[in-house]
Amino acid sequence: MMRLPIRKGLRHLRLVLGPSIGASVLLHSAAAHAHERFVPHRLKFPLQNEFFTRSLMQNPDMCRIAVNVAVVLIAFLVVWMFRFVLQQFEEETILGGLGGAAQRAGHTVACFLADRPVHNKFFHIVGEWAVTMFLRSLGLVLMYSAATDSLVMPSYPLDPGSATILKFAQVGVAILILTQTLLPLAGALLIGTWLYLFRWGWYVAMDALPILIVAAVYVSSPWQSHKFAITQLNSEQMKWVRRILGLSFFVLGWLKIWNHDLIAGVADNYPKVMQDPLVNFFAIGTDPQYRRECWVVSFGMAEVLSGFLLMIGVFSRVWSLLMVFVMTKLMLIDFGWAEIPHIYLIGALLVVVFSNKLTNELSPFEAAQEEARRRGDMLARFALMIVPPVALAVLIIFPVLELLTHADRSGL
Amino acid sequence: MARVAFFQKLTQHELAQIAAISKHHKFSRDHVVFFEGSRSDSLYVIVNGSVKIYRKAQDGRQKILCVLGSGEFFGEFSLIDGQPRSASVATLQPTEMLSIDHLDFRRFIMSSPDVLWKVLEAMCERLRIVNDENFDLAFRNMAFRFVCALLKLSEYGTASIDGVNVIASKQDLAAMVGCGAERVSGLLQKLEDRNLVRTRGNNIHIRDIDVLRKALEFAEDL
Repeated sequence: MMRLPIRKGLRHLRLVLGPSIGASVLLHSAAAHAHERFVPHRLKFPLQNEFFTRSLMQNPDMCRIAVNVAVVLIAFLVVWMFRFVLQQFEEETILGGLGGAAQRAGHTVACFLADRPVHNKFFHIVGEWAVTMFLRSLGLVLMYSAATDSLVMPSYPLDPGSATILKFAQVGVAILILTQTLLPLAGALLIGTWLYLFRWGWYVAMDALPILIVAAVYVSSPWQSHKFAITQLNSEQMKWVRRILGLSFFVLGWLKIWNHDLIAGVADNYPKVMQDPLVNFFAIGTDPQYRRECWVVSFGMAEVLSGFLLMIGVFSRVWSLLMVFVMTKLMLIDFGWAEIPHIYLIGALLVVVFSNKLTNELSPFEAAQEEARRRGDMLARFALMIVPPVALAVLIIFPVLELLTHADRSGL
Repeated sequence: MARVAFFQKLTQHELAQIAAISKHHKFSRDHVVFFEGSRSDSLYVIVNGSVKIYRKAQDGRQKILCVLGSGEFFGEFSLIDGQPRSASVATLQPTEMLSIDHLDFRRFIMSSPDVLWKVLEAMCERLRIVNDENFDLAFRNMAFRFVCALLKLSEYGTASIDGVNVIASKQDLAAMVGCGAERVSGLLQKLEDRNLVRTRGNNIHIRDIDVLRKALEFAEDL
């Protein structure tokens, strides 16, 4: 009796893996190469490259940025670990004195900020709409890519020899997505396309990592997906959306520091992007003669920070909302039409913002902390609130940043 | 405190112990004592007044699970298993209650295990109510459940010479029965046409509880 679901699962896996491997092999002969197309990023003034290759111990400015980011990361993690204490304080002390509609409204806001379920009609309706938009928006992006002779993202133009077949293939997948037909197949084809991108270098594949967010949802959808009105994602799907979304920002943040000329080139062409308050906050206390270099590191680290917190599910709604703002600003103000494919990422972020099924990866620490509280062991409880955040922040930031100073950049 | 049913079997010494570890609260009407998902794990005992225990669906619709009054208690689930609160609790009228912290209660029952029996008895009673409600949901129509809800509320109403006054909004009644506020208005109108109740805003006057109880027999025809 128990074998049936396993066999069914294996069959599902075979059906999904087949097309994805097939797509990557079939597309292997086609050509695509990334270069400057829509968002100009030609470096106008060279960076001081030695800044990026000096060890952290000999680079006080980079070290300063790393410390600033680590402090912010620790602050967010510690506040998160204290959230049950804060919840009690909020409910008993702050809202306890209110009562009525004010008490309920305050509680709704607190639930939203702390990733707790929000039981509200408006929130529920927007959440359903966000899922609908997220599941379909990649179809629009693929249509746009096909119309601009690109593969998946407009930055990767197609080789004229294989352009026609790949354009039709993209339109085919887009039709599956927009009509919500055979979604597991659409997901498998997207995974195959992503694997194919490795042919052009791991950097290109990492850049396209976000397409896996919706691919993960598609492959876990029913084969007869056209028969269902999918307006909600289950907990497992939400977990993967959050993890891949966070991982994408996390990886892309490090890549910005590694391939520093690219992001500095964008800033040279769009000086307004250098006026971001969060990014400039991380560069506080650094030497002004390395202003552009410090900005590049701070920019990358801001993405690493937000990506990491999203990946582990700490204040997912707040960070996602912040990124919706940043993406919308990039699309409507800074870069304009060239960034229109960002509607897909905005859709994914909105799904997180309006989800009531958010989980986090720190829950084992929280459970241990609750256990200690019920035992009355306050020392263990507070140790569990402080030690894991500090250890995590130090381990996530300093070793990778140090590693990047030794990284080979000759192939860029 | 000795008048509260929950503490009635306790000795003077035990009552003094309870008084030392409990906190006294006074809440106005429509005050949320705790929300679903809350991490508090105190036990609450109602001294006077009444509360509703409810849960909310994702889209904000409310279902009242039960209404409790003087002498009854709530919050025992989290007290025992340490999990977040499984439902929200809000006052229906100005209410006085006592709260006892989990750790203090645990120490107290070591010396007075009888109190734990009280908690178990109440949990069994609530399970029976849930069983009855499941049965009613499966086999009784909305009108029957509506009259049951009115009778339940009348236990916490104000008695007068010509009946009982109950204060309840149509939304609360709808949340108890599991229907829309419009349906509640229709059912109240039908009871009013049969001279069983009289309504003015949130004030429902039940002329005769026994007659209303009798009305359960013909509730299917309402």
